[in-house]
Amino acid sequence: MTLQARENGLPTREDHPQSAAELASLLRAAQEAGETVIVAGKGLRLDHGNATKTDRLLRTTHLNRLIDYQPDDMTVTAEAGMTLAELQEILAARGQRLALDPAHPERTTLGGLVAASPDGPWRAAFGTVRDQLLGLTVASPDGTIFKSGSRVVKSVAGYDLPKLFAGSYGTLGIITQVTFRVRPLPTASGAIRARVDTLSKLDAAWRALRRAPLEPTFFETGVDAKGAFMAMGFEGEPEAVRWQQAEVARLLETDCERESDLLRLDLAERSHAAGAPLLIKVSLPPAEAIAFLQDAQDGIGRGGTWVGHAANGILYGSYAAADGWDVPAGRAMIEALRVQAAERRGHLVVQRAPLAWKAGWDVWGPKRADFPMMKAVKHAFDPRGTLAPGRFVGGL
Amino acid sequence: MLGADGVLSQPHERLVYDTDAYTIARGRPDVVVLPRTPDEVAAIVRIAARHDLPVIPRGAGTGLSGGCMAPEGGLMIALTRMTRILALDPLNRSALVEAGVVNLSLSKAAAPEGLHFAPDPSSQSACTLGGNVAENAGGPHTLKYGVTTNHVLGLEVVTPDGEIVWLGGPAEDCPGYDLLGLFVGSEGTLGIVTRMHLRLTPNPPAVRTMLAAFATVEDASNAVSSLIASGIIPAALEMMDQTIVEAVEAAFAFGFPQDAGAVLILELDGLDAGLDTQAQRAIALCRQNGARDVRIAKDDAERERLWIARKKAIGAVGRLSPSKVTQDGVIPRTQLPRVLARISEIGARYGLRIANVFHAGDGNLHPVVLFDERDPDQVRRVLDAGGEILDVCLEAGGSLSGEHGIGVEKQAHMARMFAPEDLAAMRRVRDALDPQQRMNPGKLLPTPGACAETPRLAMLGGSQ
Repeated sequence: MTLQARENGLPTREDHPQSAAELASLLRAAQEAGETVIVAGKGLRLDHGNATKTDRLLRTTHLNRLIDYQPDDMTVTAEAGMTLAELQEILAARGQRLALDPAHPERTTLGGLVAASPDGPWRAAFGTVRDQLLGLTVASPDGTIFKSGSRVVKSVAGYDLPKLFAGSYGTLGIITQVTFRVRPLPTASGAIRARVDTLSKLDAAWRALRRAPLEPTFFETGVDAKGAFMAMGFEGEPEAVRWQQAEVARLLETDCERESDLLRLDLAERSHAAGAPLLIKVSLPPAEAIAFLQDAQDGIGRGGTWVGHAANGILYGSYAAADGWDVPAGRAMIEALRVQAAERRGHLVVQRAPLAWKAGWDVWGPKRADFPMMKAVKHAFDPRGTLAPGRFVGGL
Repeated sequence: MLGADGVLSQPHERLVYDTDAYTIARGRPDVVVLPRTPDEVAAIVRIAARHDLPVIPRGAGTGLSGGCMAPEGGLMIALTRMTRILALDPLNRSALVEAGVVNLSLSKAAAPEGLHFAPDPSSQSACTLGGNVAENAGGPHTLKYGVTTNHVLGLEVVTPDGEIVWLGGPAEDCPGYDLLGLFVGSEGTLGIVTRMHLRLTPNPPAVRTMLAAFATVEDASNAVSSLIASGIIPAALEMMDQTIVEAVEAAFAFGFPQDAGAVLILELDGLDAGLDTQAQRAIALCRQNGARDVRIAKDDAERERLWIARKKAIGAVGRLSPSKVTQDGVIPRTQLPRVLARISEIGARYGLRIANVFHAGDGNLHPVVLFDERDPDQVRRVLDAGGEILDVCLEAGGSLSGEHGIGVEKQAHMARMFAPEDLAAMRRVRDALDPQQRMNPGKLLPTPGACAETPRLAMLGGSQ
């Protein structure tokens, strides 16, 4: 756990239930005692969200069994405390994978993967957690355990509750088991990266690649100390990979470096910006992303390091020096960037910030018109506000 | 407010709204309204709220689970006049459309930009996008591209109180709970979708479509498993059994092999580079599993004809009997041969003819039960056989529905797929967002206390 997370109002009382039943009874006991609970796996993303003060921490890391893996049906069910890296190893032994590649899979449990819903470069081709998730088992604050979704690749039986829990940060229930669709590992893969010296050239490169008949498995862009870059990765038949690498080089008319798939892992880690005290996530209509970046770098947001998913309009900006900033000035900068994102029909969420910034501040941004519905849903699943009260959107 | 032609209150005007494509269940709304704007929809919902009337949203009425008929009467809101495509945004690969736009119209409008809307249900030339969202519709190409929920960026919904609220929007990852994901597939029970931001998908640069004929359903099923296990992800992988092939051939004269026990339609798409290599691997796998004949569509026209035959297959089966019910169970793919054998045994036992045409790659079955709706005994047998088929799917570890939804058809079976606490979790959502249970009542969730063994025969004949 990072020091940051420990400071984020985390309780000192911590339990490590050995089974879902034990977890559910601890949760119920907490609710009955009027105590509040925060759930954690490895704790990698515990510092996300608003500051919340809770009485107890429930850690899922001992719930780490593989429950059911059917390689021929391409579905897998495992307990929430298994790490993504462990699951990928099991799947790789059968030539398969879960098509999700967030940063630090060895410190990302499957429960945390669903609850925080971090994305990765593969998002360009495979989407996010919500697109791979088939079913969930959840412990409610009243101690009941329920299942939702299914173990088959397609199901529309009742409400899609797995979607509701994806990205809910442990504020509706505690995930004890997950079922994902899995995919085959590719026959071949390869990547290519181009550096450009200005952001307007980056925008032109994005437009050229966006319109081209390419099928990238990742499409990343960013700005770092060395300047702006764009990167694409490909999978499939070796001839298709080679053809696409050549096509990118031809379209961009600039020096391109051919890279291996390791580039993707490097980019995923960068989006997490470990060590940076301030990390923001901006979502935009994809065609607005580079223009936003340009405004940010030329204006109030200058000095940031950026990386993101160019196919999806997702940018991660980190500021290494933010710890030393004046709090009101730092928050004002973020709010100004938030306005710029909104003007481009997008939104900004602060994923990590110094604790001093968080007092009386909603890192998720202003409430939207759907807030009353969210509040009703929160109340329906956690009527006594047992689960990480205040951590989520609008103080839910 | 809506004009004289915007309100249908005479019995003869409401007749066509008695049922959707699940014709066994009928129930007439007290009044049908045809609004043209989200504001009109909201005003109507507020009127319904004041008078405590059930509200039933409806698109084209092509649904197959009775999701948009009125079991308890009430006020039906047909969105079929809200048919504008408000914006196409090629660079962002998205479209802003009204709920009544027909699925295929969007793909046609996006075609000049080289884009399409990926979910392609067989009814796509008639069904509306709002209906697709309500049912989380699928189609043959969802094997590679996903179902409706993977292609919705934002929804404008009218809540049961008559408020207009956007969930999601033009940018992904809207902060907060994924109410967007919750709404897709909620069958109109949480609110009415009026406008939506949909994701558009680039048309693949190259396509190879093949037709493989097998002696038996079992051989074809094994080929499906081998193909998927090989790492090839086909754009579509469809199976048709002998009964379907005969009916389709009679209707379309495509040249399907009449003596085959089953045929597979296998489509690969992507870049031209490497696609033929993949096609050769796929053909080899089909042959290893006993394919007698593999034919590759020689051009776009032939490919088009093959898909028309597939998408109109269930209609073509209509020639064989006065009525039909298309079921929608999902099973783990590896269980295909065993479950198809059980379905055939169930059909024989009930004296019913059952044809199969389905999304084999997803394990999404569509047993088509042929019968005569005018004979109550046959109807009873159809319902009982259908229940048994769903039980077989659930025993195999599957689901009640892959893309048609629960509606009134499979409501009673929900308690066989889900435990009481699982259903209670769904009810919490319903109670939170529609506390009066006014939106599309009597659908999706089983009526508390209802016996799962009793098909809703009481509904037959409805309020006619």
